[in-house]
Amino acid sequence: MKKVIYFDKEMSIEDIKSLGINEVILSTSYFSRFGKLSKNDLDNALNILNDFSGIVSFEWDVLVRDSLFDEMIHQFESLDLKRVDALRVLDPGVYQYAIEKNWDIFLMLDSGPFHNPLAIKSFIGLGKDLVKKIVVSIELDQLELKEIIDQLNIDTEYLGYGRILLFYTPRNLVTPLFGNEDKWIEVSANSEESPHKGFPVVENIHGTFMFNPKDHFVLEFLDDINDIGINEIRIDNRFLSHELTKELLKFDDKEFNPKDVKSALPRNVIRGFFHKNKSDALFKKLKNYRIMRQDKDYLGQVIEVEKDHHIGIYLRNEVDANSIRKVLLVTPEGKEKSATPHQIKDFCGDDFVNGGYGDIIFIPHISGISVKTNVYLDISNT
Amino acid sequence: MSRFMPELLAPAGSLDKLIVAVLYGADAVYLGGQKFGLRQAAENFTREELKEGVDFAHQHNSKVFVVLNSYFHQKDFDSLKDFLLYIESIKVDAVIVSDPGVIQFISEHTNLEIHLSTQASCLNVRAAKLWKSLGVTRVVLGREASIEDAARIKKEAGLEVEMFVHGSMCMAYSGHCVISNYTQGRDSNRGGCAHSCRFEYSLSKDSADKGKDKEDLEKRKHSFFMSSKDLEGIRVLDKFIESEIDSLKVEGRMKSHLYAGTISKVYREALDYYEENGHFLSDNMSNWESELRKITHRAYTEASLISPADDSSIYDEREHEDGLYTSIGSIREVSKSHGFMLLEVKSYFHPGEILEVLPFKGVPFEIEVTFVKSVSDKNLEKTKPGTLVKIPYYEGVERFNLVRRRNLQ
Repeated sequence: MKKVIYFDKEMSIEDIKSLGINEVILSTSYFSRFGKLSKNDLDNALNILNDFSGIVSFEWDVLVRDSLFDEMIHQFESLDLKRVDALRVLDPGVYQYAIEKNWDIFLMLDSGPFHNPLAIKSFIGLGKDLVKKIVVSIELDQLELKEIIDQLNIDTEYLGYGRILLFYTPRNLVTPLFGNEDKWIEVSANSEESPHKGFPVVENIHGTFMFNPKDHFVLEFLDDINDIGINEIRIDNRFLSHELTKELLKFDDKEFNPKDVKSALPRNVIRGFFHKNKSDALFKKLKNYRIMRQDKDYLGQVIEVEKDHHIGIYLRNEVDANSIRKVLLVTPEGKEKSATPHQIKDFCGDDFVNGGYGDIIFIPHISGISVKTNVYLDISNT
Repeated sequence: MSRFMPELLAPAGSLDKLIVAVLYGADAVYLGGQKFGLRQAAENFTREELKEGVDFAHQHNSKVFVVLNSYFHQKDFDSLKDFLLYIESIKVDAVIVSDPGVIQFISEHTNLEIHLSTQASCLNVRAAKLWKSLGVTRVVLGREASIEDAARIKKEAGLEVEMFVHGSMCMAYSGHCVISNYTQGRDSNRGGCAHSCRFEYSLSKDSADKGKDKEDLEKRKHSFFMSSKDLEGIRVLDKFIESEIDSLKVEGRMKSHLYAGTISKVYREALDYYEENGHFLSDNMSNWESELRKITHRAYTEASLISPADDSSIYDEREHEDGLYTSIGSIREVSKSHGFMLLEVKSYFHPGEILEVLPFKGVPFEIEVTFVKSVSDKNLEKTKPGTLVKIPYYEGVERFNLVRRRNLQ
């Protein structure tokens, strides 16, 4: 399993070599959403990494408004990136730029929400053979990951440990509350309307970022990750001490004890959606499917009920009185009732002859029927 | 003189709202089927309603766009082909999509026109070119793009651009918020957004790391810091037009009939005025703004339409009804000969009240409700929501006109 980390100013080239790191990401304050390397730091990093035989990638994962694009390109092209092997991109516009410039590309779909093989393959296809790696989403569960990776003939990277980004806006949301002393301000937020507490919130020159209270950690599932076909694990050490990063990077060591490491981490961890993503399971409870019309015999919906007098039906189809011999009514609770209306009136109280969409007709009251009941022509025994 | 005029694109959360939006002046409406959209809790359209909606809109020279803008997991493709073939057969005018896999699937199986959803947060010329190469003919730009950005994207990428002109706004880049996924178990990119950005939070400079948060309640700052004000673009409508933005979109498929009708009417009148006069130098602008304040809304902002949204775009308040006007209901039938109109009641009112009718065209006018009767002709002292009542006939009132009441302040 290949190891990917972010360049850390405290980390020496000896550390990088001894820990078996395969790729080092350069995450700058200008091009990365929450990178911290300055231009000087970047130059120093590139000097240090001259002796590194692995991959050096440059992260450009901020989303770019058009008015800023030219300036970002100008800044990017003024950098001395000869030692850089690949560009990690998120914004489709930056992806297009990398294609135009013929860069090797590490396409990051980690925060990009592409969750099916066709989406990923079609996006890779745009870059032709320039795309060398896909950073797959942590919202995919292991079955989905395997299904996707089986269809890709390309390296894949997955977040082994790191913060989970929940929210990204270009607006400054923290400084209105806490002032603007630094270009980087981090606070913690507690929801006052749900039990969730301790969201880290960062504001920097790119906007505001909210993270999950618990970080992503799947390093104890290395066998599963291998079985899926993932071949690179990223440790996002940007919010982690140098010492703890070194401990985490021993994840493929027989002595590695996930329990001990987790207890030492600054924040609690979760495995997220790695085993199962059921985040669509609640959808069917969000609305009442019984009040939806179902078939071609649909007549309309009950719009009013006056007890012992009438039921008003809002017609949704062309119909004449002769065809309404028998009706089937399905209430919002799912109860079904058949009825044979002995009289049908229009809204003026005259006998109904025929009508169409939007007309309202009245039939005698039927007990147990409420507004939003669906009414169908019952042709079963007519 | 014929001048470029943008399309007015209104939300249609249900068939009735589609009718309202079209009758009040929308050039096009967008709506969702029962699956594949980002409003799982909305009423949305059954297949039969879709056909009725398309037929109705086309009869009134309006277009219908169907949203398929959730980000698909593999299993979500199961019934997609069947649905696509159906909406193509009923002559839907375009589909609105975020997911490149869905774009490819649609291109392979249909000839449907494809618009890129704002959910894809397309913000620049190069991104637009990339999406165009996948077969997209129009991009609904991210709300962070300015009108100036949009004009450049249209010109340099060579495709149609659509921008939001009015309505609620995500604070996050669309498609880049998964708060609901992790806190509510509901995938926001598949229609399960729980609007956590509208919640109240307390914030502290203390670290969220273990043992570091002192829980000093005195020090914590309470705020709705992630909640955005609503977008209102009426004041910069001339810039949209002069920049030849192809379509102006109104957010709000979950909102009321009164919202759908009022927004469609106001922006229709404003666009028509400009088409005729070539400017907005008129008292009408303040009238239109006044109308937009009569519907339920958060405080308004122009957000990033001209320059990047700043602190003033944050709606640091709990959600509440401002209560200027109440939706009373809609006219369902009109009978001049019998001297009454049938009103579907949304909110209660009494005989003797003065209500306002919102005509499809022209100035809202008052009617005095001298009687209120049930359908069975019983005199009523007070109406109940969810019922039909008879009120006096007034000249100029039409079926599907909306009725509202000015609240006492």
